Amino acid sequence: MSRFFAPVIAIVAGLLVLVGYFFPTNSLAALRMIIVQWAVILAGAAIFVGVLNLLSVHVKKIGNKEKGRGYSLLLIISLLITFVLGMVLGPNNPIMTNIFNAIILPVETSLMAVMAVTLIYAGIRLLRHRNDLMAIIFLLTALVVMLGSAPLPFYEIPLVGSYIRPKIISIFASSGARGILLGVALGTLLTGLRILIGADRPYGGK
Amino acid sequence: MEDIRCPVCGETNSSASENCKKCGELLRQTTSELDGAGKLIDSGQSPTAKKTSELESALPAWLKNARKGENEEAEEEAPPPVPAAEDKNPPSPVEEPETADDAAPLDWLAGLDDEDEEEDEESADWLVNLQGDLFTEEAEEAPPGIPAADEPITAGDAPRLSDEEEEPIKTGELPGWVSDLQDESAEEEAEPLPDLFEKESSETSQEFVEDVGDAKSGELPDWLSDLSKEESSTSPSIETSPVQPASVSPVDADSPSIDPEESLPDWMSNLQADATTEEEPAPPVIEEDSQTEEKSPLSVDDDLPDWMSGLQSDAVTEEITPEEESAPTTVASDEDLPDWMSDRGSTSDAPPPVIEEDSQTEESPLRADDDLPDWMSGLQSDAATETSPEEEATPVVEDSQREEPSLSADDDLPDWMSDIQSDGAEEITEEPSLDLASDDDAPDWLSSLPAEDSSAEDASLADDLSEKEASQQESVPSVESAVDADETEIPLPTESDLPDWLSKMEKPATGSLAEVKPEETPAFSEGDAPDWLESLPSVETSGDEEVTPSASASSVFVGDDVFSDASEDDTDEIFGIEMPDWLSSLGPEDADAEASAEAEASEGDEDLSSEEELPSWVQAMRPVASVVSGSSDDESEHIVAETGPLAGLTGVLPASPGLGELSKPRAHSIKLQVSESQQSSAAMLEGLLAGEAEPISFSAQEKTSSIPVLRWVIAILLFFVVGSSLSSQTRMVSSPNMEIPEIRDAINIVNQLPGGGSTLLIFDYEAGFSGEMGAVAAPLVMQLLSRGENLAIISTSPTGPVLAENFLGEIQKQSDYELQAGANYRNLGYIPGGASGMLSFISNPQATLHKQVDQKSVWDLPPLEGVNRFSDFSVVVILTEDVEKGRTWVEQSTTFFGSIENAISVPPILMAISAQAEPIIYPYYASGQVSGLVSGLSGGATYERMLGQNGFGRKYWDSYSVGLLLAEIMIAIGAMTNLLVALRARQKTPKEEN
Repeated sequence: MSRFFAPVIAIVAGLLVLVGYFFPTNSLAALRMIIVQWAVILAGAAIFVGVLNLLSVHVKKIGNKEKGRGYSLLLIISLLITFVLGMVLGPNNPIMTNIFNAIILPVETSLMAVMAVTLIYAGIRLLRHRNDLMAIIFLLTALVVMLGSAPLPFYEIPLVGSYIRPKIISIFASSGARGILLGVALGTLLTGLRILIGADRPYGGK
Repeated sequence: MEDIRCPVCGETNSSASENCKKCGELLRQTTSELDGAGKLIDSGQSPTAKKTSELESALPAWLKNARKGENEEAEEEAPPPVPAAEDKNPPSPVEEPETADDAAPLDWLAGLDDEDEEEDEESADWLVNLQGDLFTEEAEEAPPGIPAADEPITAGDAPRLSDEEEEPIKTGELPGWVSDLQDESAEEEAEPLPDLFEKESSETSQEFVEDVGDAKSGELPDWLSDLSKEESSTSPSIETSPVQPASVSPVDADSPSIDPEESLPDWMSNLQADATTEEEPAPPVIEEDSQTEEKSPLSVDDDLPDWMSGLQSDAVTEEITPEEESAPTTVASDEDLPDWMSDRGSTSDAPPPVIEEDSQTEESPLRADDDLPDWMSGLQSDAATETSPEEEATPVVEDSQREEPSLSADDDLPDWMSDIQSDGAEEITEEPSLDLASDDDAPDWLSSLPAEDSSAEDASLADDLSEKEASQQESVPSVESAVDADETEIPLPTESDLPDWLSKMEKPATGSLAEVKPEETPAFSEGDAPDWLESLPSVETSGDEEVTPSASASSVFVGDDVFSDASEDDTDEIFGIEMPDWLSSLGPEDADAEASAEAEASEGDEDLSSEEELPSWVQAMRPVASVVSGSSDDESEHIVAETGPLAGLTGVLPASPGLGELSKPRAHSIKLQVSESQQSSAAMLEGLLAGEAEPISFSAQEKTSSIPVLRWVIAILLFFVVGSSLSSQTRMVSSPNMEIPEIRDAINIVNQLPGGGSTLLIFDYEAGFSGEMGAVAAPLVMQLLSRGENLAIISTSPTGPVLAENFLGEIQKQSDYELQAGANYRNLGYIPGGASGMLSFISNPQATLHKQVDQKSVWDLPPLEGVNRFSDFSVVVILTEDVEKGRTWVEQSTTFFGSIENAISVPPILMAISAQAEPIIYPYYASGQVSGLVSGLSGGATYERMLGQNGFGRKYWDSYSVGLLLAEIMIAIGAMTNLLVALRARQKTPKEEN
């Protein structure tokens, strides 16, 4: 039963939204909006389900006495506290803001700083493992762009910042990026068409 | 078309017809009568199971007739009259139909396919005579042009009798000559001959005797009847059966019911009569089957060999008076009787032996030269040269010789038979070995034989008999088999009655020839041995002269020189033992001396003695002593077999218990003898195995592990430089003074805003990029605020609203602008669904975000008053570090606006992005979808420079530049260093390998 209706629903909904783009009539627009809003609601519910799944996984990990169950316990506790406070105080409450500013923001910021050190270290060790031409070109390009991004203290390297770096970004980078974007767009279009015709069923069923 | 002759009646039929128009029998004996027949059975196929009833039609005519005759005879009470022996002419046609069926059992003989006319003449005369009655019809209907003798006899067809031949004898009828004999024979009942081939109870044998005696006396010739009389008066006749096929069996249901009177030939019945008239009719020596069995074989078997009948006649001669002797003589003079039989009857005083035969024609088989075996004919000839009793038989012999040329051969008639004839006092059993099973069991006729005659001729006869048996061993296999079966059952005549040669014979040894029982009367004595026996090579026997097998091989066939004059032991061996003489007499000469000594010592060992009597062909198979002898040189281990089949061989296991002498086994060294090369190989193998057990040492591989010191160094340097620069607020690095178009456009768009409108700020960046994004978006937002724009903040990230609050706080700290929630900005919160949420917000912001403040919708409160659609925003500023979110916002908004509200201006979209997303988002700027683009800290710094502001961009610009310079330096130096190290390592590896 589900094998028949699930594809039908998915196809109908996708066709309605697509047709709404080509024939923006009021009815189709309204119908599309309704379907989109349903998707928004389902996405919100999916986040809630994800949180619950996270809880179950870590609870199971604690129950099986697996390695790292302490961090799982800390996670569960933090989750429950934040959830309770947010439900009680509200997301805009200064307490919640302080928790965010004291925990989430520094943690993520620190991770970004460590990533900087890691990227520098990776740059240093790149030629040790891959001492080929492409690795050297990559590394030189990175250095040039880095030099063009910020002028040197007390000295600005001519043409690097004004000509080389802009050309690298506008020509080489942009061309590459556009190629990637086109590929992504085509892939997204083909994936959508496969879902519309029922070839792919990410929602499940055979 | 060629006519077909009926195999039964001889009627000529057309080839198209299947059945005879006269008798109705099948003209062609084909297998097509059977279901599925006509096809040959291929290999692997199983023949089709058929019922016997279905196969009736496929039976040959002779078999059918035989079966019919048997059935009819069973029904008849009175046997058909036996044709008179004198009636040599073919039987009357009236009798022919009757006899035709009766003669069915005899048809099997007639059906023998013998195309050789000469052989037919030679061998089948007596046979044909027997069948004379059966084939009278055929004789009449036979083509006149073809004589019966010349006519080929085919299988299934009864031979057509010639004019000269008598009709074949049918089942239940005695041959003509036998019937003739019976006519002339005395009325005395003849004792039944011992059945050599079948076992029968004494009662049945007696019945048989009585039945035989009921045979018409007129059928037997006189001499036979006389013989039978003598036989009955002296000793019980040995019930013998004529030579029969080996498959002779008790009377079956199908066997024809034979009238006792008709079944026995006259001479046999006379013999029986003689036997019964004795004082003590001895039980038959040989246990025989029921009399019916005797009748049937005898009656059915018309081919009583002449020698058998001769035996009977000889047995009777003891009892036959001289007058009676003349009777057989008279009878013998008749053309029907063979000479030897006539001689036997004339000379023998014994009553004629009870001979059970069918009525035979006067042309007895004995007269036919082709019928008598050679040894019998030889006996005849030898008998002619013997003493007066033999001379009396001479005319008989001569007559027989004339009439039966085959009998004239000296080697045909055994001497003992001729002696019997001549003496007239000997009883010779049909099977010489049968007679002497035991003295007590000797038939009357045999015992009635005068001892004086037997004493004189036993030896000679025994010798002759052994010789003849040796030469004719192949001709009488059935006889021998019967002999073996019945040796203990044949009654032996008394010594007084036995002929000399018989009296010299001892009791047959069931085991060893070496067992000589002196108390037994030997059948023969050397003095009494006839000449023909004397001429035979002496046979070494146990006791006096015992023939024992020796270790050496001997030829299978023994020449004449092997046989010696028959002694008492010889005769005993010949006639009394189970083993035929030709077999027992064979033996190597080398072992005679040893065997004789051993035989004396082991008289009680019957097994050993029996083993000594190995025939030559068996002895030839014995292992040669040189081969059998072991390789051991130890004389103690050599065991010479003294007895047994391995006598004389060495190195054999002794047959006696204990396996010979017990000796200590030879001691063998248990030490393994290994050569040097083997030892070296073993040591090598041991070393290999030991090496396998040892663990292999693995060299630790150099693995490239991360250097944590370098990371700490990098981190420390960066922290130091950046921190110091940031804290010192030195302006070592000049502000970027480049003209960046996308920044310029952004500035221009913001400057073109009317002011007091609503700007949509979309905070879709993560907390980790808040520092960069703050520095990037701060100048733009400050410009918007300077323009008096109200801000509406949304986020598709859960942390976006909080980040937005922090950003605005910072802005407020750096600028003099006062930002108040609900006054100049409204934080609408988080929109779930990613792209769907964006599309939903873009399509209908109010429907997407239902937020109320003080029970009023925020969309009705400032700063969102007048904002009903997405396009009501004055500008859309997208703050993101993620490429996908930026793209999605751009794509969704421009597509929606382009498709639906073409006339409505689409709000400009400004994007403040991280430096990492610039390459991907810049095309959107280049395509015009994005109106302005500020990317990275440099863009922010540039944007501030262009506005003449001094914000986070300029503050972070120096530290950013120093830190970036340090990174550049470290990467450059480090990369160069590692490159050199790698190259150096690569150069070292080939050198090490080389």
